[in-house]
Amino acid sequence: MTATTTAGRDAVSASRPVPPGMVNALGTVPFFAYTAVFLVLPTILVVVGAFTARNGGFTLNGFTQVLSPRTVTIFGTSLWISLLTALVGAIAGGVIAYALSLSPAGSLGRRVFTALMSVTAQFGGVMLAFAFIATIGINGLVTRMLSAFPSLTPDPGFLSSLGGVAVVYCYFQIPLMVIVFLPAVEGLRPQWREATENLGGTTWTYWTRVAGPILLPSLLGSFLLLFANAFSAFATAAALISQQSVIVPLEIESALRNENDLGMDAYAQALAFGMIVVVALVMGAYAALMKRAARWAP
Amino acid sequence: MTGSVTSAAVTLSHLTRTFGKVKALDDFSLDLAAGELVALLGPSGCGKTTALRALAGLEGIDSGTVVVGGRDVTRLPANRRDMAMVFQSYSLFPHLTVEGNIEFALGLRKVPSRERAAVVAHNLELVGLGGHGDRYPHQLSGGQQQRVALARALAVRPQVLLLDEPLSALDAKVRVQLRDEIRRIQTEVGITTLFVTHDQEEALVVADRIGVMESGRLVQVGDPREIYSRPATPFVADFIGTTNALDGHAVDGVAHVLGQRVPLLPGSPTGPVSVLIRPESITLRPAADGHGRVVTTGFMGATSRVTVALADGTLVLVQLRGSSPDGLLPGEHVALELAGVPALARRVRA
Repeated sequence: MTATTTAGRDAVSASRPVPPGMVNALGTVPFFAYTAVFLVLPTILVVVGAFTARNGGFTLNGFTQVLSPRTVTIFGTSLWISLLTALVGAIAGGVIAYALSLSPAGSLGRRVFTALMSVTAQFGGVMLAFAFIATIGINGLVTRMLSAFPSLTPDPGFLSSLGGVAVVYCYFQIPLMVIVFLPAVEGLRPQWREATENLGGTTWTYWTRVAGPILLPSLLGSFLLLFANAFSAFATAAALISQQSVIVPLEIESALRNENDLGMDAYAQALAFGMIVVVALVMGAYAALMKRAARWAP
Repeated sequence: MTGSVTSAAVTLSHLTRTFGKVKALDDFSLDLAAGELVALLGPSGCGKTTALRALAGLEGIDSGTVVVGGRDVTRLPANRRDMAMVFQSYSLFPHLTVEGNIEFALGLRKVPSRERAAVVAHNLELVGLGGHGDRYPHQLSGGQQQRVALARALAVRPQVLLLDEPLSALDAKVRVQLRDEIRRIQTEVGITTLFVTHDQEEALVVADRIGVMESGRLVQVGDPREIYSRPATPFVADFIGTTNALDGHAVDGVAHVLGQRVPLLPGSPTGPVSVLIRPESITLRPAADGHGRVVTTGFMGATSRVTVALADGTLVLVQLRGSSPDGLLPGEHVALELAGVPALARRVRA
């Protein structure tokens, strides 16, 4: 009996309490597991695949093709359409977000408009493309209604052009900007504007020396988010442009589906690798921006 | 730029400002002498901040005139009025350092950079924050932020300094410290100052004169002693300090209260009245057949407070010098002796 008790006491003293830090760290396991499976692992597979030939050997063929004039053009198109729609989205969405911030907080109109923006920001892909085709496509509702007025009728090929894709992208880019930028403009305190005026400044002074610099990190951060959003978009463009690969995601799809040249896998992976590099550069710029802003942000 | 400011007299004449059906300013008039500190005091929504903002040019007025240093500035925008304001809180620019904040207006005025550095250093010393120039606002406490706001306001040597409840967001200890600092700096700089507050103690301590506001109107202006001891209306008597309302009967400028005579201030009605008597205008004497019984006693250091319940249930607050006298324990019967200090009376409410 005595021996059992002693053994039990020894067993208790041998089991050390788990440090609280370790217990807290356990809570992050799902996040890191998710990141590992859906971000790190695919990235590794893409990077390795970009250098791997069909027979398993090392190859640079994919990158050789990526550097071809045609692919460089496709990358250029992807970049400028992303930059353009991000710029339009940032400017228009920024102005709308500011206007929205001037309405009474919690008002019905503001809540309804914000909800609408949240929905349209997520309304992309094939559904959005179809909505535009059904409206201003060759047989779209508006096109048919305006058929009696040739000068007002939309160009039937517009939606299949890069300009058409850019317009359709703006449909979700602008609301996305409103959603992500609204908290920043809501953070502008009326006292800052009044202090500027009171100290002798004008509206121009306020925007260029107070509100502008305060909003700049958020504005650029939102712009980069919009850029990445457009750069990685696939379904919308795929639904609008079926015959050509004008942007990188469409070229990747084309390479993966190519039945004539089975060696296109490495090319597709190299294209994806190129996209990762672009997005990594964007994220690096964003991180640098945030680090700069962190000097004064509470 | 580091020297004293050129203070200006201010005249606000018959200002009116209406928000919907609410008259925030109702024929509001106030004069500030050059170098004077006037506190606008009143409850929330009485219009004191509207008056200050109207002077600053941040709030439009429906009618009236604003004259500063003999110049009519009624139609001038805020940025051309040569005033500086310290807000309740959150007015420092978060992306600028303390130096950057103070330099902000100097840059707008094209002050040479060498002179700017001297002005910044001088004003930081003035508010006791020398050596804090490279900090960002979020690295400072609330009290330090308000000091920087004060330094920023003073750096441009405005004709008028406007303080919009600058202490209300601070904790009690810092509030008292900064309150005294503001008075010291204002006296040292000699700047005309309008100080808006809802805290009567703050107003009594810092102001040369106090203006008490009620429903958009200025009901009394005077030095702190006058406001406290000779309130013009029952509202002022109620709002400033503590008062007891004791039933009495007024005849020929004298009220008869608890069998004693209390001289009445001008404006008091006759007939059945409630006489507004300060707690320190009453003394207590143990008496078995007195007016009431002691309910509570409280020691407050230099003074003590005693609550007495009269026979009709009315509670009377009495403030005595020193600790409460021996024998004044809860339950004791006491007589109230009214010191004969002039008091204001109001008509008894039906």
